[in-house]
Formats: sequence, structure tokens, C-alpha cells
Amino acid sequence: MGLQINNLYKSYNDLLLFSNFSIDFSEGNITCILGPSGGGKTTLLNIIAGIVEPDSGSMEGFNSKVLSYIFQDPRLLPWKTVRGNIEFVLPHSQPYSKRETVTNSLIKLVELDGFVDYYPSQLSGGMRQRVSIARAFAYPSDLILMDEPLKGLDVKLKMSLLRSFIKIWQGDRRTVIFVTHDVDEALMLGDNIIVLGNLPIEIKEKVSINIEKHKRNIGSDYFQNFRDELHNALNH
Amino acid sequence: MKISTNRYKLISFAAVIILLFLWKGLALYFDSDFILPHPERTLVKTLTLFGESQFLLIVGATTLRGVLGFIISLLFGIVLGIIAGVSCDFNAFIKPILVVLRSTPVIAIILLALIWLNASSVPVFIAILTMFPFICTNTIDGIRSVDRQLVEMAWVYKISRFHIAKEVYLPAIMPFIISGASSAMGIGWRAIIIGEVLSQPRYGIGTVMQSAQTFLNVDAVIAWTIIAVLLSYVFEQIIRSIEKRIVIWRD
Amino acid sequence: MLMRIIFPLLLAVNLIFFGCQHQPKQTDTITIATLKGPSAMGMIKFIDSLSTVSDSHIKVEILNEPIQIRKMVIDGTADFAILPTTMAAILYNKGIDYRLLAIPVWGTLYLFGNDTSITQWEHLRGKRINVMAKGMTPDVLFRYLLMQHGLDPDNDVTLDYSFPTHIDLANAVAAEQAKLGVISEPLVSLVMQRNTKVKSIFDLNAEWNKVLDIPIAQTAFIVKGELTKNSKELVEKVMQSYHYSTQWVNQYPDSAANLIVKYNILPNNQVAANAIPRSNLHFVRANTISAQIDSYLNIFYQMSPDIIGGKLPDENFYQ
Repeated sequence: MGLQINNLYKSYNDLLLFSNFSIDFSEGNITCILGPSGGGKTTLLNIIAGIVEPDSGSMEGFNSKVLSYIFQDPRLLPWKTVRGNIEFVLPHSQPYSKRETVTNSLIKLVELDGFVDYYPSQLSGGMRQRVSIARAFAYPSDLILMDEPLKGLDVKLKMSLLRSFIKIWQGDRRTVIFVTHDVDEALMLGDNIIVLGNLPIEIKEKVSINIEKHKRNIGSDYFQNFRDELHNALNH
Repeated sequence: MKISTNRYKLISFAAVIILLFLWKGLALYFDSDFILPHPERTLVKTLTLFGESQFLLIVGATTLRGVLGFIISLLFGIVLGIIAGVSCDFNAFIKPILVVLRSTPVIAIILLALIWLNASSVPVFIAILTMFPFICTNTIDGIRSVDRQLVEMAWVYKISRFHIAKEVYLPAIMPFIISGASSAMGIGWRAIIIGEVLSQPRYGIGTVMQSAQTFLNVDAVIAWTIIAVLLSYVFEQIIRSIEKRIVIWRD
Repeated sequence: MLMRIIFPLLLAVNLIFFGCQHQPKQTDTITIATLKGPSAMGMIKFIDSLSTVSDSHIKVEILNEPIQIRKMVIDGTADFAILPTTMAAILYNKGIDYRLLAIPVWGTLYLFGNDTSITQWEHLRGKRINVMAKGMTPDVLFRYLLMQHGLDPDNDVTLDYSFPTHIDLANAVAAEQAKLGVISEPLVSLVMQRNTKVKSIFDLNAEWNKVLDIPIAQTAFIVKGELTKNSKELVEKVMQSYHYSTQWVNQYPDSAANLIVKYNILPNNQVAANAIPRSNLHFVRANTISAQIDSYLNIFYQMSPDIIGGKLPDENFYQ
């Protein structure tokens, strides 16, 4: 059945963002929503997350889903350590030993082993974002939403975080809806890439990539085609 | 870093020494025990006070009143502050009360309290009325300061209301409460002692200060003042150290 | 705030540099500070005669509270002063050189209030009694009497000092906010006139005399020490005027009442006429009764030396 949003209407003040907008997402895959900065993509995610109410429209398949959210900013609790922040989202009904195991394995996956007891103020921006990723995966969710989590980070850091993410995801293939304005990020992570644009928002292009993520060489000619296609869609 | 803190400590220490010399100089100049007693005599008197038989009772009584007043202020301040922080209506309701309490001169409150309450309760009542506005106002600010984005994150991750309160709100307002408590402490002790001076409970630092004044023991007045200052200082330090332990996550 | 520093500073400069060479000139104003109560009542003829002399160099200031007079003594603005004897002793013992000339007012304290159930001292057990100020004469005198009747002032009764001035306490009793109070004439008569439910319960002067042979040398007339050396004539003149005035008041109470109302000591003739006989006005020179005054002070000295300033004043106190 999949995840669908049908006939979505949403305006902010006098701005009509979505008018009879429909979109669907395939489960078990990473769907990348590509669009210009500030184009209302965050609103779409927030509607899915339930943070924002649509004016009208229906959502199918989302009700039964538990979701994690990786925000643009790490949103860590400053008074909790790395471990504390990850454990924060784990159900308190679970025995402590179980929670500890989950936390430890994720900390290892995002390569923050030595920093378990550090406070966010003692970590760099990139490290904080990694904790946010670990937290999202620690949470027993079916669906992970990501809102431009790599925005503003330098290239090297971006690559390292993307690699961490891919590594974790390979071992735990949840449905991911990933919003970005960066074409390269989309090429690296997306199984399906949906380009959005205009106002009210509409789908301008849909692309699917079937290569395993860790095997993708986005510098190659093959990907250059995709890149051009996507840039075109973005700019027109 | 280490050199800097030592340097500052030295400067503060020098300031105290200079003040003592100034005191001595003025005392010599005025040459009257009623205008300014000599510092050595006063300091000796202060030390002899410690040995006085009822010293513990007197200081204990004042301390007890202060602690009691503080605890009650804390409870009311935090509870009402949280409600006001969360409900805009209640905040509008309580705002004028807080403003009035903060601006009313302590002496006016004391004179009214003397009519309503017995001698031992007056200082506690005064302390509560002067400390409560600080704690309440700071708690309200603390609630207001809570990062909405963190609350949003916790909501998305389906954290229970109880845990959001405990893990997101409470740690955020803690520094504000402590800061409020620290300010409240400073003003609270002063209010208690003035209250004691006027209501004359059987045991209290204010009580003996007033007696010393009646009997023209000026050095005793100053000596008890020094003890009152020490008392206030001790409690402020206690709050500071609690603050350090709770707020270690700050950079 | 600044004045409080500058004034003593100037005074100190004055005392230090000019004190020794100071020659009293007859044209300098002499200030007599007196309390608005029996002291002023006894002096009223003197006060009146001064006001008829146009160029008088004697000024009488009438203050409400002993503390105000004490301040004028400490800073030297009062040349003569009338205040409680215990207070005079403290000042002398602390090195403020004012000597005792006479006792112009004797026991005037009463326990009064609207609590009519009290007929014996034992009935006071467990009661709350309002007293003006801790450590002052009404307080220590009352405490002494309580102890004489087997009551512990700290545990068997509640002494309440919430009303720190004569006037506040009087008002509180009149308003029946305070059920029992220790206060001096003429406020007793004044309050009883205002509120007929308030009665005099114990005449503390009489109670004291039941227990002791020493009269209550309650109020002291003191003078700046240097005036006793350099202005003997002036001092003698003032004493005689006060003495005469006191006798006159006792002899002609109705005329005295008129003057008392004229100078705003009391609001009406009736209460003034009532108060005069109860105010125990007798001007007695200190040097004739120094032993009695010493015994009086000794009572309090035995209770706590602090009450009179740490020790019994030496013989130079009595002029």
C-alpha cells in the first residue's frame, strides 16, 4: 500500500503552499525530496510528523508508523551527556541493560566511542549532529524524517556523516524521507529522488537510482546525467 | 589561568586591608566610641560574642527563621512561577502582585506585619514576602526560556508529559531558580534582621542588636552586624556551591 | 545620609580643637530638651515665662521620645536634658559628660488596659503585655515587679514590643489592639478619657513601694558637665526656675492645666487636671538624695549591669 499523501491543501498567512498536492513514498527505501531552500519542504515533513496541521487532505499508511526526526539543528538536551541524550528517547519500560546495549552500539556506529560522557557544549557541530542521528536510530521507529541535517556543514564533514548514516542504514533499513536542497546529497542517499518546486508546490521530476549506496561514485559520468537532470528540474 | 585567579584574589584581599586601615584612620580622627569604634576593639568584641552563652540560641533562632522563610518562598515561588510560566492568564494575574511586593519598602511591610503577627513570626513573614517575588519571577523567566525546539523534539519522539517536564523543563529552569534563590538570600537575611529589630522576638540577632543600641554598646552593634554579614555570606556560598554542582553542563 | 557623617565630623572637629578653650558666652543660646509628658508639665510655668521674655537666650525643645533627647545629648546640642534616669546613667558611664542635677519626676508608670479580670499579679500569668521598648525604664521596672511576684518575665508572661513608641502603644491600647500595656502618665489619663473601657490596673509606683523602701527616681534632669564648671550661675538659675515651676504646677493645677493645653502637651484641660496629681512631680536636687538614686539604679544593676551602662555611676555624676 505504501505511504501516501493525497489532495493536500496548506497555506501560511496568505501564501498558498500546497494546493491539491499528492505524493507517495515507498517503504524500506530512502526517498529524497529535493527542492530549493525555504521552499516549504520542511512544512511537508512537519505535516507528516504531526507538528503542523494541514488545511485539508488525507494521509494513508502513516497512522501506524512510529517516527524519528533528525532536525536541521541537533536539538540535544544541553544537560545530558551523549549517552543521556540517546537514552532519553528509549522507552522507560525497557530494562536498563537493554537500553544500554542499544545506546552503546549506536554510539559505536556513529564513531563517538570516546565521547560517551561528554556534554553537547563540549562537542563540535558535526559530533552533535551524529548524536542526533544515533538518537533517531536508537528510537524504535518505522520511519525516519530528516530535514536538511547537513546544511551548513563543510564538505568533509558532510561526507563523513553521510557515510555514517549509510553504514547504519544498511544494517537497519527503515523508511527514510530526507529533505535537502543539495543535489549531491540526494545522489548519494536517495533511492527515489522527487524534485519539488514552484508555488503552490508541485512535483517537477521523479528519479530512481538502483545502485547500492556504498557503491555509488557520484563523480562518474553516469551520475552526471542524473545531476544534470536534477539541476534542470530544480531550475525551471 | 591560575595566575589570573591568584592575582584577583590578591587584589580583593588588598581591598579589605585598605578598608580596615581606613576604618582605623577614621576611628582615630573621630575619637568617639559613638561615632566609630576602633576596628580592633570591634573585632575582639565579635570574637567574644562567639563565647557568649546564648550565642548559639540567638544565631540559631535567626538562622532557623531564615531557612524556614527561604523554604516556604522556594515552594510557593516555584509552584506559582511554573503555573504563571505556563498559563498566560495566571501570569497576567500575578504580575501586579509581584511588582507591588518587589517595590514596597520593607519597612512598610514590617509595620503591617507587626500588627497582624506575633513577634517570632514577623521576621519569617517579612522574609517570605521579600524573597518570594525573586524566586517566582525567576521561575517564570526560566519557563519562558525553555527551548521550544527541544520540547518539539521530545514531542515528536513521543516522550511522556511527565518526562518532558522532568527532563526538558526542570533542568532548563534550574539555573534561573538558583539565580533567584541567590538574590533572594541576600535580601532575605537583611529583611529578617530588620524584622527582628522591630518585633523583638526572644532570641534573634536583630533583638540583641536593638538591645545593644538601647544600652549604647556601639561596638556590640557593629559586632553583631559582622556576624549577620557572615551568616548571609555562608548561605550565599552554599547556594553558589549547589549551583556549581547542578549546572556543570554549562560551558 | 551625608548630613549624618558631616555633622559629627564637624562636631568632632569642634570638640577636638576648640573644646578645651571654649568660653561660654552669655549670649549663646542654651537649649533645654524635655519630654512631652510629666517633665514638660512640671516645667510648664518656666516654659511660659521664657516665652514672655523677648530676647531670651534659653530655648526649650519638647520632644516625643527619649531616644530623640538621647541623640541631642550625644551630639551635644542639648545643654540641659530630661530623660529616664537609667538612660542618664548609661550616657554618663559611656563617657558622655552630662551630670545629674535633680530628679523632677518620680514614678509615673501604670499597667493599664481593658482586661478587667486582672486584680492580682498572679492573674497576669500567660497574658500578653505590651511594653514600649526593651531595656528602657518601663520594661525593666515592670520586669522587676513581675519577678517580685514570682513571675518569670520571659516564660510566664509574653512581653510584646511591637509598638516601639509611647504614642503607638497608647493608640494601640485605646484601640484595644493591645489589651494590657505599661505606660506613663499623662498618656494613661489621655487614653482612659478616650476609651472608657480602659482602666488603670496596677499603679506601678505604689506596687514598687509595697516591695521596696526606695522611691522610683524615674526621670533625670541632667546638664552638660562643662556648664557645671564654667556656668555655675546659669545652672543654678535654671534649677531654681524649674523647681519653682514644679511647685507652682502642684499648687495651681487648674492654671497649670491651661498652660499645658496652651503649649500642646495635652489636648484638653480635663485630662491635664487629672494627670497632674498622678504625675508625681517633685523637684529634688540630686546631691541631697544621691544615696537613694544610687540604690534605685542598683536594683537594675542587679538585674543586668547593661541596663545602666555596665556600672554604678561614680560620685561625680551627682551635682
